Amino acid sequence: MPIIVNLDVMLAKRKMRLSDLSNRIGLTLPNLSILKTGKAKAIRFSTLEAICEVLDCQPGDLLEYVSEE
Amino acid sequence: MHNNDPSSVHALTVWLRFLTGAAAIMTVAEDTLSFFTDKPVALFIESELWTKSISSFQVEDRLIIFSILNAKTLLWLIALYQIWRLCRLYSQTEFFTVRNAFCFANVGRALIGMAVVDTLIVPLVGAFLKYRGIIPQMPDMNAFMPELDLLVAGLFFWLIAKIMERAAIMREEADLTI
Repeated sequence: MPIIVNLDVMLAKRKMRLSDLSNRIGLTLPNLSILKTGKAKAIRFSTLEAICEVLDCQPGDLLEYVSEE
Repeated sequence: MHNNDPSSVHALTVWLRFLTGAAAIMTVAEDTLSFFTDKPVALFIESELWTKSISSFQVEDRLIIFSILNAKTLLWLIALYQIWRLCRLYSQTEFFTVRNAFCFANVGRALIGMAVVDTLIVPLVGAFLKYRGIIPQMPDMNAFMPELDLLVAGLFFWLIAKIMERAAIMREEADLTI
């Protein structure tokens, strides 16, 4: 999929672990792991909002479009 | 044992596997026996019944006629193999996935193929016998597909499989929405 999820990059920048993020936004660790590994098919605005709030970033910092060509 | 007990699914899967295996063995046994028995080939030529026992053909002709007559069996075995694969997926607790739908679609394709092959048997055997000079002209053809119910069953299987496939993709997408 040409949409890349840069959650791992933002977590590293904020020096935060996935389990900490999971506790702060109330999303299960397996679901966050699916998002981090790029296996997710879609993301809810509410999830995006919660992640952006905790990591103090913009949606564009988390999602990136890379052309498949 | 409750209906929602996983062991009940396992027991049903074992039964389905047993039936599939038994059906495959019976089919192969029946066709092997039919090769050695002296069944007559019967065709209508200008509304007259023409028959000849299989043993009176030369061995190579007999093999070709036998292959044409049993092409339908091969497709039936393919359908049984797809049900066998379905059982394997069920035993791996895979129920409503794209792979399940693919097996159902293949069963449908095999049934459609069986209906088509059944329609083509008379023209193919007739053409072969005429080519070999065994019959003077092509036999009478059926205007309609003889196994229409098989064709309809195959189409049902295939269409339901397509719906299952799309539903499985939709569910997978919903499950992977975070």
